[in-house]
Amino acid sequence: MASKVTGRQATLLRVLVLSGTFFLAAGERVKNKIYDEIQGDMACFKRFNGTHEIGCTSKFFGNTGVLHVIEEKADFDWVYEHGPHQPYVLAFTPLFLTEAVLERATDSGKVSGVVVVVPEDFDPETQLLDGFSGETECPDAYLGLYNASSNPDYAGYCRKKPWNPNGTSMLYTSWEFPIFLITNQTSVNNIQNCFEKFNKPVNGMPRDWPLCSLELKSNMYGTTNSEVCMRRASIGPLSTDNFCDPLYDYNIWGTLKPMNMSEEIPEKSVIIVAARMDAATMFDNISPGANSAVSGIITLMSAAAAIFKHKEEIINVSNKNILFILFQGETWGYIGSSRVVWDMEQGQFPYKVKDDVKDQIAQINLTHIDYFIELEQVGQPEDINKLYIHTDPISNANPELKNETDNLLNILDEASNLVNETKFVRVRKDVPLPPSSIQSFLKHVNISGVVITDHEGEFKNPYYESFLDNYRNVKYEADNETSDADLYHKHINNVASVLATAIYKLATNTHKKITADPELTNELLFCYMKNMTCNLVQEYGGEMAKHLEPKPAKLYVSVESGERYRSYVTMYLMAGLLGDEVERNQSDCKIESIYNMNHFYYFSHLHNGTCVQTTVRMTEAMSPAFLIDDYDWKSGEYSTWTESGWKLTKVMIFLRPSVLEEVAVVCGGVVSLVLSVIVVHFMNSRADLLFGLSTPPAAC
Amino acid sequence: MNVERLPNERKLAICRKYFMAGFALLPFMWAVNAIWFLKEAFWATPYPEQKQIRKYVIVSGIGAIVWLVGLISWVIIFQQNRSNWGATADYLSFIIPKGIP
Repeated sequence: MASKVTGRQATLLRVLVLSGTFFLAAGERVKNKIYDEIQGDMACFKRFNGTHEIGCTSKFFGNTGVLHVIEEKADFDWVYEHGPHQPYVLAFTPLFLTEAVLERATDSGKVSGVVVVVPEDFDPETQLLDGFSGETECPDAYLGLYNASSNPDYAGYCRKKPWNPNGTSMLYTSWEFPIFLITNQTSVNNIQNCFEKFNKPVNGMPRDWPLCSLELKSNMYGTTNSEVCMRRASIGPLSTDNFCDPLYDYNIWGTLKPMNMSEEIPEKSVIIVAARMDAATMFDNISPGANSAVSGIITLMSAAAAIFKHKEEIINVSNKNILFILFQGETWGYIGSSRVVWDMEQGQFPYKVKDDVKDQIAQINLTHIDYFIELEQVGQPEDINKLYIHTDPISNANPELKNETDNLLNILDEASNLVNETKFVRVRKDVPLPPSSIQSFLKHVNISGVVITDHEGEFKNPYYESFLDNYRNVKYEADNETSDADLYHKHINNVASVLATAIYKLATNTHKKITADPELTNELLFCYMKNMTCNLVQEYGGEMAKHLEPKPAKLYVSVESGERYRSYVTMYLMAGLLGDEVERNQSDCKIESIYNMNHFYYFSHLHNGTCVQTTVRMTEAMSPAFLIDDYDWKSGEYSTWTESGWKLTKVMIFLRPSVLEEVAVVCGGVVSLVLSVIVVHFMNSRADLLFGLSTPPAAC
Repeated sequence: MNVERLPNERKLAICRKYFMAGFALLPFMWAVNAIWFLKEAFWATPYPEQKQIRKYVIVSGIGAIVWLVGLISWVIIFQQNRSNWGATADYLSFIIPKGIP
């Protein structure tokens, strides 16, 4: 009994001492003392299509290497020919981010990773003279209208005269090492200082250990292609891991007037005005798409808002309706537009017919489409007042359709004359369309439509689908939402005005000059180009706005619920622009069913609470390939892009001692362990002698 | 349980049970049987049931080794060809490793 108590006391004492040391040590983990974590959220990651994998992955435990900052071309030679401390992690500015550099790094076998650092003073305009685009020279050609099998006459056009001559296809290449983009200035300086202090060769001679090293972690779960990783995600009893997920988001759209299923929609009565919602880069968490997406999105929004002010006039005299739509995932094989066409063909756009839903929204199908006006890149015209109109040579070979298209072109010309700020120039009729959503429609139906861009031939945007396609690229200069000095928003506003004027004429057959609101245009531009926590987003975004950062909008389509806050905020903004305020309090301001023709949104931060009735909604933008049973992944009919799953991406910087020192430390540890075991054993066997205790009587 | 302390007929009964159970595609039964009764079958002082036990132990041992060789060969073949066999191999897998073709 007595011994039991002492035993318990001893345990208590031990616990106290242990916890005491624990609190005294106050737990900074050894790991945190060794490693310094720097910006690692912009990793190049893996994506898959039906046949290939693209992007980057690290090894399971990450890739480490000795840091080497490349300042000039000769530094590469030094690493490959003289550098003794392989593997290296190379750090360089976007100046060296070319296919040739990355290929040489792969071939050398001495490189285990790359970080692309963007110092604050890096100016692409003066330093990157050749432009930089991760896209191919013919973006989206493989799933477009002019592929080799369907339209051989036009298939070769882009190969002879590429739309995107700066295209490097870097986005579509599979790299053997991880690549990170680092824009945080503290991290950039950290890398530079550590390199200069420890690693920078002196007179061409390598420095000795310890050397500054980097560890890059971005291990991707998926492999091979979409077919393989989608299959793996679906089988196995423990399949909670996401090997890969289909690219997924929402098309955001609304019509000028609500469409009730009880009223028939006349054929050729819906004018579609479309723009592309998404942009892409090689890296996670950065996809500004200033010209490739934002210019079109804001022009569309601004024009929609301007037209909506004349809603009653249009409804009273015309049976035409106008559908404003932002297509999502167009970069990755026209996901959004091909889904809308597929749904229309299946008779389920926007939804299948539901029983027992009052005031249900009508189904729209391909025969209801009248004209199709699409805004692609419109933000970088060479001559500030000049934009180009593209038409499709194949469908316009039909004389009837050509008449309609000519009518559309004339109306656009008249509108531009009326507004008198922006001139439209027609591109030669035998030139096929540039990459555009209307191609998805033209693959299935003959409609007359135009694509409005800032380029006649090759893109004016030197940074198409890259992280450099930001507000600097389009020279958007406003520092706040009310800046009037900026010229860019005036240009976008002019385009929106011409567009609105043309739409008014198309719908009502009467001329009327409609001017878009430049303040609204600037506010919208400011939000998407510079800061997604802007006033408009605060007013309309509701709960969703809280999840956005004070940064440019991230426009990558992403996977299901990957970037949904951005999409919801965009939908709410559209709802605000294409909606009527109604007298309803918060509790009544909600929809009975998503199948209703009208939706209600409550904006609690707008004028102390506002209820808006609108037709704006979002519908799924996921490629039909993932809905069709037994879809042939290699058929090339629909987009098959998926994104790999991963657990984390991070970059750590640390000082690495020489191998000898590392071995010495480990050996020292082993020796001291063995010694302590021997000492304890010795003390135990001589306990009587050392502590003067008698051995306790044996139990039982 | 110490086998040595059991009466001889119990030893035989247990050895026989394990031997029979092995036929139900349970090679571990044979492996256990072979190792457990190895001493009894070959080195224990002779007794009438020993001959039978020895027979069971030998056959169990051979059976277990054949299974072991078979399983190891299958694992090697499967792991080397997993990515080539595509869908079939995936459906045969219980846990599919991440990030490997």
